[in-house]
Amino acid sequence: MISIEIENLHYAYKNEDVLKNLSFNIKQGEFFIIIGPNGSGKTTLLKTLNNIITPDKGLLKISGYSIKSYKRKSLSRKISFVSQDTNLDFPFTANEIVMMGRSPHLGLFGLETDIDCKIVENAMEFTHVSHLKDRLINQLSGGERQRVYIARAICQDPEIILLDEPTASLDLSHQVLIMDLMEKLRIEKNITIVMVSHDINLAALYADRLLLMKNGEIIKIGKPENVITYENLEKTYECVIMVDKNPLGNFPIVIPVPGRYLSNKGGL
Amino acid sequence: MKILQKESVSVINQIFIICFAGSIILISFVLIGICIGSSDISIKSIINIICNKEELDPLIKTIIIKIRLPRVLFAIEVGASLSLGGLVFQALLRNPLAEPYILGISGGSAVGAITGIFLGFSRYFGVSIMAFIGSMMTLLLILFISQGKTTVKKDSLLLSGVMVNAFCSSLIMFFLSLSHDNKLHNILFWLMGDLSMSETKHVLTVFMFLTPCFIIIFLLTHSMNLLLMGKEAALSMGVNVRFVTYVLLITTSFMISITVCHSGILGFVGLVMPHLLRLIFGPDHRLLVPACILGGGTFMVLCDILARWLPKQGEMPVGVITAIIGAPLFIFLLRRSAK
Repeated sequence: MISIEIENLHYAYKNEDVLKNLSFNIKQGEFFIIIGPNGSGKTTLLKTLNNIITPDKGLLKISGYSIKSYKRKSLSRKISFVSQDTNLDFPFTANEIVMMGRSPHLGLFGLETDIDCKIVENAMEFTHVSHLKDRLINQLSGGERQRVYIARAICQDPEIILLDEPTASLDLSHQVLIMDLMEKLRIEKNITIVMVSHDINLAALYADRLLLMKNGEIIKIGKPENVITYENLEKTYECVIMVDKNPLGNFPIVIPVPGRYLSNKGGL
Repeated sequence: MKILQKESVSVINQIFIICFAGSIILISFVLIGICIGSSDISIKSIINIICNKEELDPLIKTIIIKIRLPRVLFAIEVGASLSLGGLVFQALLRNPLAEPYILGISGGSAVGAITGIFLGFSRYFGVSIMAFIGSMMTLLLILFISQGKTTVKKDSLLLSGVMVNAFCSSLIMFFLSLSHDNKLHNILFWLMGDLSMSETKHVLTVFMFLTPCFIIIFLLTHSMNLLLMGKEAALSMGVNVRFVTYVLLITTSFMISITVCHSGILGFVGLVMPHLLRLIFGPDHRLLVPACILGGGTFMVLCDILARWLPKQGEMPVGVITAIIGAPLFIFLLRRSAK
């Protein structure tokens, strides 16, 4: 079943084309990761999927219906979004933050029932943050905070979760933990995961399919081993890299080559 | 620090408790406010007036009904709308330091009101409209400065507020020195805020305009909670961000201009109460909005009592008191947030 359908999607900002006639589909329950250099339009693409940014041209269907036919609230029951902006100057507890994820299912005042409390509890258990529930969000570490925001996204009970660089600035164990959680979510609940990432190696280990973007265009879309090749990456990132096979299995692994191995004078 | 824990009491019950306790505190301060003044009146005689039991000295009755009561009620209205205004701006700009006076919105509103008087508009309708236009202009300026950013940098926001305020104060002085109208020469009224011009008629008009504003803001409290998470997160949780933002901005500016054009500029009220109440009840706006209306009213009545009671002779502008309390608090908060 197709979860997200994109045809000739085009978006320009201040006379500059950010997304250029993109067309592709994402299947329900797929782990889909968008990679590419800075300014390639990855985050913009992610935000159009949630109608945070409205594209100028093209067709965008969510579960078979045009995104324009959804009201804000009904769209928020289909798709949840974990943004990069996690700064908060106000003293909410982790539990209160996760409860906000229930808002799409609640009335104007967001009054929660016992069922909502149970859902929040389960979501926090799922992301291993139950023990933090009464702590203030601004006192948590980056990894803990990210897991709280993911629990909030799960509480929306969506079919699709969008994540904007969820592993950025996290340590290794937290990176793996977050990716494992997403994989578990996909397997257990058949939720479509669409993620923007800078970490190609991590993406290659988890993604069903990768989308490699540059300057708002698709360079390559497909299985990690077909996307992460020396030719594709060098063309996209314009730097020298090596692609090898990951000892863990049939996953490609990228090794960036430092300048000192390349220059004639300073070479070792 | 939270007094009421979420698990034990539902939000509705918490709101109910806040309204009940807040009203009792507010009413007791109102009674004290009526008692204190150049001629002392005992609480007993006030209660007697309310119950209509005893025939009172007509002079005391006149003082209470024509002077003291409107003044105290007006103080409640001013305090409630300014604290609520502060709370809303803090949510919209995601900045705990935002406040109508610090942002320059009160100043813009006062300039509008004075322009209206200067142009000879009617005291109620025309001047209020001008005050509203003035506050909307400053608001647009602030939004222009903060355009396109998810969180406005604290320093740029505060700096622009300082500049807007300086500009507004000089405009006020400019208009006042041009005018021959004796009423306008009450400079302190505009620059420091004063509640002594309140009449029963004012109080009723202002009340009529404020009540719908309070209701609209209260209806949007949960959306305000979600807005604190950032524009994108709020959108993804189903909030119609543009609609909510516009409604809140217009309602709040309207509310503030209605009070400021009768009270002059009163600084820091929108900072003191939201922060104090946030410490007690947490950041949930569903609780904070009713708490700010009642607490802000109480705070202003208290400040007015001090302004009338402290000086040996006469009284001081109530803005002096709010600034003496508010400005140090502001510096403290700025220091804490800059850590």
